[in-house]
Amino acid sequence: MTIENQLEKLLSRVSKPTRYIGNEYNSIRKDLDNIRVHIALAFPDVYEVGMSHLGIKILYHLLNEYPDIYAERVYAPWVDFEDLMRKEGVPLFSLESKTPISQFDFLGFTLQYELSYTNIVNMLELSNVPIFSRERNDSHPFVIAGGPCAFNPEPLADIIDFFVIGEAEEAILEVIDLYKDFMERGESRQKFLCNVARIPGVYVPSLYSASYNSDGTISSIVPIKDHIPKRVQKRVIQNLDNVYYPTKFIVPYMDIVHDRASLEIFRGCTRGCRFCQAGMIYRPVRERSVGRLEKLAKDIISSTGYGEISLLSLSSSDYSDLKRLAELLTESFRESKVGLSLPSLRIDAFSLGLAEKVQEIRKSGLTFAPEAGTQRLRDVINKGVTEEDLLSSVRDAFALGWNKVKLYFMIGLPTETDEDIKGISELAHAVVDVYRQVNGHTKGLTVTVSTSTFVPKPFTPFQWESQITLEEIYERQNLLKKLLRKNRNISYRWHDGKLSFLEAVFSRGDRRLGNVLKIAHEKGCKFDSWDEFFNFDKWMSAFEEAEIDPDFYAYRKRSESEKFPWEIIDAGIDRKFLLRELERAKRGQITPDCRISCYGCGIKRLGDGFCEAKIEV
Amino acid sequence: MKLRLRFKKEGLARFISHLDLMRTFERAFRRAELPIAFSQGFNPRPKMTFASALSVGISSSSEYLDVEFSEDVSASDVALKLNPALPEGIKVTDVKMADEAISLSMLNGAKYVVRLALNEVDLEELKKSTKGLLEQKEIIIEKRTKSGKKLVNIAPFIYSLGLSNCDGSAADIVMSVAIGQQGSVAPTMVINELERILCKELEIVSIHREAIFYKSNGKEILPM
Repeated sequence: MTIENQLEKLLSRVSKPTRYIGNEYNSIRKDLDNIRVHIALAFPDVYEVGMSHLGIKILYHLLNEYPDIYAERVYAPWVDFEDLMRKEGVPLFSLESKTPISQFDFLGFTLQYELSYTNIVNMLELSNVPIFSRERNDSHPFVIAGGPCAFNPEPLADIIDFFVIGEAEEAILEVIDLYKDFMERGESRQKFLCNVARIPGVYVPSLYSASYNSDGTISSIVPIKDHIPKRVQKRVIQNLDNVYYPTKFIVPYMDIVHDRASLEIFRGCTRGCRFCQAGMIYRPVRERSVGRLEKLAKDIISSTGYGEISLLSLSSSDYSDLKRLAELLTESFRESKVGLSLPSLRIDAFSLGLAEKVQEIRKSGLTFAPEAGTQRLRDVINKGVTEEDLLSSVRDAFALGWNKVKLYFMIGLPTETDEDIKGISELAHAVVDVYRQVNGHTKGLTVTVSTSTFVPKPFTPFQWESQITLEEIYERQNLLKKLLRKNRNISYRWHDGKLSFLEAVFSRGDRRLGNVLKIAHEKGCKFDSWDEFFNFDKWMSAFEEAEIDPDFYAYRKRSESEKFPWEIIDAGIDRKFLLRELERAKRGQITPDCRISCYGCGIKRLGDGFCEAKIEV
Repeated sequence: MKLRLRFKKEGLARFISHLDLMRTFERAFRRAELPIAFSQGFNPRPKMTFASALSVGISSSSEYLDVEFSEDVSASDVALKLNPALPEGIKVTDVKMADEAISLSMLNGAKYVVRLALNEVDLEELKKSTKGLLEQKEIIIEKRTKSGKKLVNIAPFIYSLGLSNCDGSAADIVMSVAIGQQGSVAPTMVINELERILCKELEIVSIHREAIFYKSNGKEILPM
């Protein structure tokens, strides 16, 4: 029986069957007899999450532009369907042609968050592909990975055959070209891995050996063969106007997390927030031109029929010509009732004016991310927002009729004390006061304070820092609960500290964690980023069985001279720059936006004319 | 102007829920660049009305949709432009001016064909039990409602029931039943009753909705 026939029988018994049927408008069908390279693009989470991710969509449509390449999609089946698949012996299959994943040439995972790693292991098992790369042979697909978490590939070093580091639009095609030669010559899997390791941006972990010092820290990670790069430099697309961008996005049936057309306006960020990994690893800033964006937007809407288009970037307000772009787009879509949404927008007089025309912002309320409660700590993390900025924006918004405000903070940032926690509460109360001043009352106002726990990330100035302990997380959350409880207009939400702890372990982990992943998977860990499935006790017993101390990774403050597992990757950001930034953080000294003056992060090494700033400090 | 569309929903598209189907059509109209009318107000909605919702997993050869357009369009143009903009499995088969005499909300009956795999069930026995079921004055089943469970007699809402296309291994149960506000019978309820009478399990291969109609004074009137 074909998988399609089995599906027809099983789908009546599962929740949300459109997760598995494929066949969405703009999904691509090809004759399997006419293709040479078959690649499954996998997002290790459920369909509605995975389908909201732009990176995979770009690669999907890019690869399918080539007639002899067929890229298909696969997501983690939800638990009800997984149970049925296991019971009925249905292997994991691709959405388009319903081909078993084990029959593909490549299985490529995107690594968006560390807590999806057990889903990777589970998906490999459901595909009947061995979990560890050393157990795979010529009959198995190459298991590859990319995305932000690939900047520390080491925790998955035993699982992934090779990583593509950085922006993959060019590198993936080079990999596939090499693969075609490899197939023609009928060479061994090992030979291919040795050759692919020479493509810039490709990291083949099995060709490197890691050794450790007696204290458990990394002594070295070195190539075990000749002609293999000592460090793998990330790939960067030089010009965003010239690189491929899809317009015929797949239109899902079900309501997914981000159910709208997405238009990427620029990559990178110049703000230099010291906790933010995205702000470091996606450097340099490169914008698409207004002309190209306007054309893309029109094409996307006419080929998808979406009623909303979202402008994506790390910080939309920083787009040089946002005003003109927003005006052009609202004008073009006025007739067809296509709404414009602008997430990641800094709230100020300009954006409020814009927001008046843009529905999405009004519906969901205004979101501010001061990240820390006091100016001292905001200076430490280089978050260039002052209390005056925030309150005056809030005042403008209240005057225009808004009454819902969300405030995002992190707890556990380096140097944080109870004063900073109290500062969060004071800021929230100040927002309520402003509302009272504007409206004379506080009826209808909701201020939601959300805190997550700081996770030190590779390639940030805080990569040397420790995470606060679970006890400290609970103490600080409890203090906030107490401080915010009294005001009926304020509600407080917090992120489970245990999830942040696990995230901290894997963000800065090394290849010894591969075994923990396998054991955790055997114990039933999956969908760890979903509260209803996360099981901390199982994780702790997995660490114990693997004889790995998770505290070593999460809580240890690193010395300046320590070698990090992720330094096998060259993210384009110099260690010296990160150390300088750490020193400035400790002094509470801010570093201005690098569009104004250059602080020598090192990214200029990777390409000519990358940065605009004239002055070098 | 308001047009009425008849469409099919077949193959894997039968797993698309009613809510998702509405969104699918809205997007298809935009892709086809057909000028549908929107409601006024802050959150404009397209002016589309669907006939009774089809349960997930049931295919259909005749579903209906009334659409208001902001400009005059020709019926033949709508079908021509809309079909390429619809996903696989959904196809518009007819477009006409909406018949205001029979609104889609008036539709109160549907004809279903349930394909059964016979397995150990004897065909004669099945025939007998369908006949028996139709003659019953009272078929009490438990229905879940918002306020809890209640017992309902579905017998008056089963208009016809019979067998066709029988071969050694499979048979079609063909039924006309009520749908809508006044009373509603899902085809699976009828199959469950048959199982009860037979004291055997029946394996449903597929369920297909063939028609929706307005039943009045013993006549079944199709919406177009």
